[in-house]
Amino acid sequence: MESYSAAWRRFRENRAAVLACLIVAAVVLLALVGPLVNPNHGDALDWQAVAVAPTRLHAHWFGTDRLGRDLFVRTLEGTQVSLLVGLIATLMSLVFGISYGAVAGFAGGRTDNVMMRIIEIVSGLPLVFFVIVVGVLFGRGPVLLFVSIGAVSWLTTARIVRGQTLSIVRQPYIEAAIAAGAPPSRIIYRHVIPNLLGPVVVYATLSIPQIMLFESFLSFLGLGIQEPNASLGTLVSQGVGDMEAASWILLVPGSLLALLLVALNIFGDGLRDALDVKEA
Amino acid sequence: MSAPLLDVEGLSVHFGLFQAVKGASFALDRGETLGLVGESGAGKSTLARAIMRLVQAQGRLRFDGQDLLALAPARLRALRRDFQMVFQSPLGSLNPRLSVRAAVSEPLELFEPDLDRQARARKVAEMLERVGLQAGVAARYPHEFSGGQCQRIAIARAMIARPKLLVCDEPVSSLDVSIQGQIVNLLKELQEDTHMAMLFISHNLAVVRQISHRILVMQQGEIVESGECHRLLSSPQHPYTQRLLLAVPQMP
Amino acid sequence: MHPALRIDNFSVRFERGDSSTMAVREVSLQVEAGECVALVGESGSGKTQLFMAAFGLASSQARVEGSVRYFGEELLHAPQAVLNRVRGAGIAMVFQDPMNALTPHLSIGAQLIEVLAVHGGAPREAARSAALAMLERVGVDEPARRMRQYPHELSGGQRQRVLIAMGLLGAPKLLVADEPTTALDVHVQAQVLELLQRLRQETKLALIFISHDLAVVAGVADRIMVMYAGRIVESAASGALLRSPRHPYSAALIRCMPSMRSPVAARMATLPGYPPRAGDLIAGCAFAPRCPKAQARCVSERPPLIADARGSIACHFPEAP
Repeated sequence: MESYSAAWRRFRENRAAVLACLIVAAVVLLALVGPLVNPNHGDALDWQAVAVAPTRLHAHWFGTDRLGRDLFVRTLEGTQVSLLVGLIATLMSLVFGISYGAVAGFAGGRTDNVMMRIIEIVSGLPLVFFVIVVGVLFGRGPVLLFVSIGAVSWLTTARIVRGQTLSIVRQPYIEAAIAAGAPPSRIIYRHVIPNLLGPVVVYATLSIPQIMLFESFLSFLGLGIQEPNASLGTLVSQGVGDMEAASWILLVPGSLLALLLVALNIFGDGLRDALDVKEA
Repeated sequence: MSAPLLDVEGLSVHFGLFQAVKGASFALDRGETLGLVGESGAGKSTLARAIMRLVQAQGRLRFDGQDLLALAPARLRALRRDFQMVFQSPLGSLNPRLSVRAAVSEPLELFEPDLDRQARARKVAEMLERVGLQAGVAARYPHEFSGGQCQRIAIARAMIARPKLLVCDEPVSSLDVSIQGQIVNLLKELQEDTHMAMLFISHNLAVVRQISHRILVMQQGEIVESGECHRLLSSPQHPYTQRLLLAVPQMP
Repeated sequence: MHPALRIDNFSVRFERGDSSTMAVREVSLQVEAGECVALVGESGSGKTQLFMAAFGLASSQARVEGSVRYFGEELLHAPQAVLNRVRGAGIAMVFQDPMNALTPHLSIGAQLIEVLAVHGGAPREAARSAALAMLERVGVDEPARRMRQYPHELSGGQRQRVLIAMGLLGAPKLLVADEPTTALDVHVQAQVLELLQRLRQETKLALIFISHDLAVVAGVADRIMVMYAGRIVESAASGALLRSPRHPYSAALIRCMPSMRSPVAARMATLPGYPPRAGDLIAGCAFAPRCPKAQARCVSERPPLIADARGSIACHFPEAP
């Protein structure tokens, strides 16, 4: 879409957002490359160095946890998992949510009514129960996590998109497009979706941190990431236990999580400002 | 005499229990401009939307030999090439996310899908120049333009596929006085070029009389008087038309 | 005796980030009690911003300069308490859109009574009968029933009357009507104009009428001021200005007015080009690019607004009166 070059220009002028974007990119890069360049393995136990503090003197840059696992590599691998969960679940919620919501809002009337009742029924199901049932049926694992979080978060996206669509459909330019002869599919993807993308993208960026937090909650209940795998959430919850004796076990993953969440939030705000055409 | 381009008979529009258009009947020939006047709430815009098939209507609506009310959706969309519309709100009728080029070329993409990118861009540039805009504006976005310029863009979009009928719903009433004449003149020029028919809706009799060959007067959903422009304005028969004429503010 | 409103050298600038746009430039005007002055200009000419800023209603990004005196009392940079008092009891404003200016969830009566309660703290029964009397006075039919109705139940003309009634409840001495009839149908428009005229005669109300439509203004105003790109370019008594405009812009506006009397020609008279945008830098006369009589001097040197017996004019080459 051509108008995004203008949005990109506005985004570049927003220094905080650019910085946040760079931080997110740096964290992603670090999470991908870091474990490769470090000689340690995330699940290797070093019985010579159990719960040692970060120091430059030995091979464990950020120290180790109480099982002697290298915290640097473990944190970065946890970041990978957390980001992946956040990204895939958000992507799922965007794809399903936007198409479902836009169709419901554009069709209106009876179709809209039925589609929204379905959403209400699905969102009425208790999530944890749903996750357990899916887990029993298909086995536990990261894939289950993606599916169950994605399956729930698209509901909100669909509601937001439908609400936006309802107000966009009333705009004269939609009537103009119908009068010009555009078929419904074209109106939805060319006239409706580009105009609701702003708020939805912002919601999506802001929902990545939420999903990452939700993932750690599920993992805490034993429904998410399981040992020996780790996510930032599970690392933080483990670190809380050793907070007094070995604060770095909490602080290392905790500060990375905090940095990532703040950066994602500022990035989302920056996107919203850049995508708002009328602000130009 | 050949059949009229647009033949409307007993056309009615209901919104729930409210009847917005009550059995409108009229005909419109090729190359002719029909003015539609009346106060707000008289049903002028609803009648225009019914003709454009944007609202459900009952009655008879024949355009270019086809029964518009009986057409299947896909057939209707294909036929829309021949009847296009210009709306009251110049900025509102343009998608804020589409550049001028994208907006104006939309009908080409729909009705001449075989055209390649360059040919399309060339046609858009020609059309923009035809409506009095520089071809260089194509890369810009609607909010960068004034109301009058946006209305020119909207006219370019409506005209690019060379329709046989242009329905103009209050095309100048949200524009400044100094711009209104520009737009009316542009519509007249385009009509002379293409011999299209026009339905020109306005509450401003002083504007309607400048462009219309014939005039319809609408009151509370009904067409109460119709006739040749000069005749109708100089000797109005219906009391409502007379009242409408008396209320037009006069320069001293 | 002070004039009802006297504005001197008034400028409004909007600052946004590092850009600043001049909406109103060095405007001076004066309205006496019982007088009606019309301010005519195209959209974007600054006519609405002028009064919003003068009465402290512009957005926080507006920077104002000059002087605005209401019966000799300075309003610019005045304390909020003074502004509230003057806006409540002295100055009333009526806007173009009669739908959005009323709260949809309160009945007409409740909204009118609230105005009185804010002003005088009148007892409820007295406020009710005052509101009723005011509705009657501005020509609302069946006022008792209207009091119980909600804004959406009223027609556009009735709503505009309610708004005028609301403005008049504070017994103002100055009424600023911003395109009060633009959203209305012609015959309702005629009634509202008649109402404003009557009120002016009955109460010596000073009236400022903002419009883009010369034909509407012609029948109401004693004096007409023409505004272009934030400046007054010509002012004169109504009849004189309409009969023999001196500024080419005024002349063009009059020529372009669609009228029932002008001959039906192959082409309507037009004014080519578009008004400048608020952010544009203009060295000379803002109208020069559209002016049929413009010369080199008009582009480089801004014509000052010169006052004379007939009014005032800002043009290097004015038409002979």
